[in-house]
Amino acid sequence: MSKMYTDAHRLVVQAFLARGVMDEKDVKSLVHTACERCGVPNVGERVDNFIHQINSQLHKMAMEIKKKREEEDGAQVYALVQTAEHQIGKIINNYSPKELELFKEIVSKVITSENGEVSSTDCLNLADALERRITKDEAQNAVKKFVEERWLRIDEEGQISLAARGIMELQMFLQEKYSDFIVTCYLCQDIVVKGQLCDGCGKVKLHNFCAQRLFQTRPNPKCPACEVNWSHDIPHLNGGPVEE
Amino acid sequence: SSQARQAAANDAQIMERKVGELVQYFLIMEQNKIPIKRGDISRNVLKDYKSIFQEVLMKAKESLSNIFGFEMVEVEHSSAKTKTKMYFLLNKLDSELREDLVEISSENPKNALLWIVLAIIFMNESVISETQLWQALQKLGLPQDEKNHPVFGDLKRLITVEFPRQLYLECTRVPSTDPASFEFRWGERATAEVDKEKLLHMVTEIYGNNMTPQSWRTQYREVQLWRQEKGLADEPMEQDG
Amino acid sequence: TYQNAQKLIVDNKFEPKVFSEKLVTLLMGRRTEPNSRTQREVAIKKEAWSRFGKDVNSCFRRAPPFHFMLGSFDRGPPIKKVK
Ligand SMILES: [Zn+2]
Ligand SMILES: [Zn+2]
Repeated sequence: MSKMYTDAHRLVVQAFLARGVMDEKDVKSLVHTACERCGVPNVGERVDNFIHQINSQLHKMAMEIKKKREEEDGAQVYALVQTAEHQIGKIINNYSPKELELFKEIVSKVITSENGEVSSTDCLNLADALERRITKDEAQNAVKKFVEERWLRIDEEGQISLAARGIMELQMFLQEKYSDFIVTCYLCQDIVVKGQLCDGCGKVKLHNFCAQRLFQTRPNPKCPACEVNWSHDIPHLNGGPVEE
Repeated sequence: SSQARQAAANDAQIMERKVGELVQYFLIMEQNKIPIKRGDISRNVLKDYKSIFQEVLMKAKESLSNIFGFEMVEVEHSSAKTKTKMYFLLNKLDSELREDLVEISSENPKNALLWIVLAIIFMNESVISETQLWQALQKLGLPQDEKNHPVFGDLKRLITVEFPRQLYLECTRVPSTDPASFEFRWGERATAEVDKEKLLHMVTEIYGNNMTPQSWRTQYREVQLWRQEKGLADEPMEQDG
Repeated sequence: TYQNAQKLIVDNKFEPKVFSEKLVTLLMGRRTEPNSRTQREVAIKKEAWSRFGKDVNSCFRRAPPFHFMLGSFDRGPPIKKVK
């Protein structure tokens, strides 16, 4: 146990256990407060180094604090995720078997959909197709809970997609079960579920915020692989990275 | 020989994996605060590696403390005729450190009710009859027959099933009573977890009109005993005359 | 002696029902006459329970649990893209 691992690290791990997922600014203030309360020299901006020290202890427990941008607006998010699929997972969970089955079907629909999102009405209609019958109300409450706990995301038009926490947690499951559908982003190499796909070669796919970064200085953007004109409109997200 | 080395490496790998699984098992079971029995560990985690039970338990205890700041507590719970060894987790970090950082707000209402029941039992000199407890809760708008309270749901189930199952409360039948009557005491988890001194201070504040903890003589003595057990220095006792 | 006598007066007998009334006053946020309020009328709102729960948290030493999704449901067969 390296002496660099202090009560401040334990406090941050406990906060991640309690909350599961946090925005970047909350992680920064958490680490700052934890260091201050434990009399540990403040890490300042080196939050990722602090998180790395925690992860070096957590990996033995098949747990990890991962970082990813929300696909919609590029906001940076940290989450404490499970990295192994062992059967203890089926023993208890704060979701009922019915809710988990619904979640599994929603993930399946989102991953196999054209543009990585599904309407909330389609999600509720899934309730009838489940093995374990679930009422529309129960399905509605389940979806509300999945969004509140940031496994899923819902936008203004009611479209449901996988939130960053959901993608980080299920990465292994997605890559192995949906290998045909799961693509990594041409620019940042991270998984991209909802993004822009080149309609020329159908190979290059970009996160919205990565398309913004790649094409921001180019008047008529072309696909970096097949040179076909990039037909999607280039978003102007404030959340996205200007430079990485 | 290389086989021996391979076997040893293999064992070490199994050990590390089982320790990781047991640590996760503890962290997951704290979702509903139900204590883990020895049998659960063998059945759900060790399975065909039962021979290394003790070592895996020790290493998991160490990791839970070093990595997460949790203490693995072992208690012997006796119910009916059997005595079973049970385990649960307590937080080693002070509440001052954890305040506002480590908090699950959805649990706060239930914490409030649990605290009230524990306070009533403690102040009633550590035991209270079920009827007396329900009379007190009734005045808080929590009647015994309430099956779907907007905040707590089925009250009887919460007080007589869930809290005892979590070892926060102990509900025992008063011998040779017909019809059977029951008594409530603190369970093993409450005894291990709750800060009696803070509890007495809060109760005293709730009574207000500049009452002090010392004015509850027996309960204050109980706090002094608790402080000694915890190895805390004796509070300077006012001259008791 | 005077002090022992003074001690006796102050030595309280705990009444669970009195404690409950004090709690109702605290949680409902205003003075309540003990007998005017019938049992049914007392309805402490969730926010009051929640605030009080937060205040008493420091008496407990709770360990926050691990919530996860991976591995909590059967994976099922891989899904292929229909060519
Ligand atoms: Zn990208
Ligand atoms: Zn292309």
